[in-house]
Amino acid sequence: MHTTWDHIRHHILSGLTALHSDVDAVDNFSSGQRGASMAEHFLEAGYHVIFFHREGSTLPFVRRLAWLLAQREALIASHKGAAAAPSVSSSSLNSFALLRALQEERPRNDSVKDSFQFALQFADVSGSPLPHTRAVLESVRRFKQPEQQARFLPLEFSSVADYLFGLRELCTSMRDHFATGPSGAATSSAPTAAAVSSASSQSAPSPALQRRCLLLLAAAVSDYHIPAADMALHKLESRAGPLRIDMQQTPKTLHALRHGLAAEASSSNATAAEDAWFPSGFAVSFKLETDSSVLLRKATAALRSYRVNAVVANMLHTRYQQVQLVTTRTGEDNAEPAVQSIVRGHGSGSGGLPSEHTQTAEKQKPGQIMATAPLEFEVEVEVPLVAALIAAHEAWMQQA
Amino acid sequence: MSSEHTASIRSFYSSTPAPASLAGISSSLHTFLSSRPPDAKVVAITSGGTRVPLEQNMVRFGQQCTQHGITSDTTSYLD
Repeated sequence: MHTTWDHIRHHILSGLTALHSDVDAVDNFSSGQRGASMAEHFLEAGYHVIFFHREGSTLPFVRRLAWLLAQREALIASHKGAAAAPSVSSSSLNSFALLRALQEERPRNDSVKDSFQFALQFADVSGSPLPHTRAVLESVRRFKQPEQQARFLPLEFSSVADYLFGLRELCTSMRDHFATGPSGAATSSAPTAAAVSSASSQSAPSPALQRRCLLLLAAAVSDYHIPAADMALHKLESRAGPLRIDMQQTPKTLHALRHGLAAEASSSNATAAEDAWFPSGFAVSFKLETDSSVLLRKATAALRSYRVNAVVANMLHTRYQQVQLVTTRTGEDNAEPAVQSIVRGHGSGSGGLPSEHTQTAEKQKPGQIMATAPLEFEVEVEVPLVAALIAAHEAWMQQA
Repeated sequence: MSSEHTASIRSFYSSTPAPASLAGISSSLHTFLSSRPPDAKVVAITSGGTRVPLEQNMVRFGQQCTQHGITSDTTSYLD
């Protein structure tokens, strides 16, 4: 297995190739910004994080480093007195710049100390350190510590099939692991017993092991795919006429989390099916819409039909400013769900960066690491979102 | 509704060859999960968009080259 740092290098490198191979695939592009941000905040809250991401998409903390390097490039450019020094706001650092920096640091060679020497120097020479520089360095440094590295597992997907097979593996691995417990002791009946005992006593709850797991489905899965049997076996020939592609609906695998795939699929409303992929953990799905009038209705429908614990509902154009966390009310399956609005914090005011610097998300291309959006890491909407998810998860475990 | 979902999911998994990356994912998960402390809280996050390949034998960069191959290739690209 790679170290995470090797993985990051690989991520940067593989991002480059997306530029060259897009002709043979339809891409459901998503920056991965939200997922990477949530991963950061969960890591900092002490959680163990499995990050199943599209290869080349944004990685936790790397995005901060990318931002820092963009600042450095801009500074160097301005010191050189270039007539048209790139302004920070227009600088969109691509993989090349970050790659160069990573190569400078020689990660196999006592990497941690060397890595950020240049960045620290940069912070010092700049006279008035750029806002956030110290905080960024500090968080990236923490991420590189063995303690945080040990809590982070990056896994990659590319195609829809990679994702769907990987997702099933991810869910069932967590289910099976936490059904038997970390020691491997056979305690398959423990979850029920623990749930009963915590409900009947006021002592410290001992929730079922699986209930300690969260699953956050923030990936953007293509609605349509091409079944393997229909796919051209070899490279598509260039041809004169138009290319016609028949795509099929991607199966709604969310359904299998609680309902499983048994032929009858007749699980009761109260309990998950026996072969459910993720029967007892805290599952959160994400709903992104462009029409605000259907957003909450769809989120509520997803909450009920897939029986996830929460749905994060957000609008395409305001998704970095505001999300709504839709959750079921305790023990009332048919009651209206609870809706909590979660809003991005305000800039620090003391050296905070102007808000126009947070608007570049839409312009990002594959192979380009998002360096400028959002810059105000400490106030981004994922901070209160992760706090709300942790609170909802904790409250739910107490109810067991 | 429910059985429709079930049928389409089952059909997808039975008609699609498992990706080459699956074995690695499976063993990484096993290694990671079995080394968690007993009181660990684990969050799995999926992130980024999926890609829909149009050709079965689409060559994947990651499978084509070793780490070193990638590095030196890309370095020369940068020169």
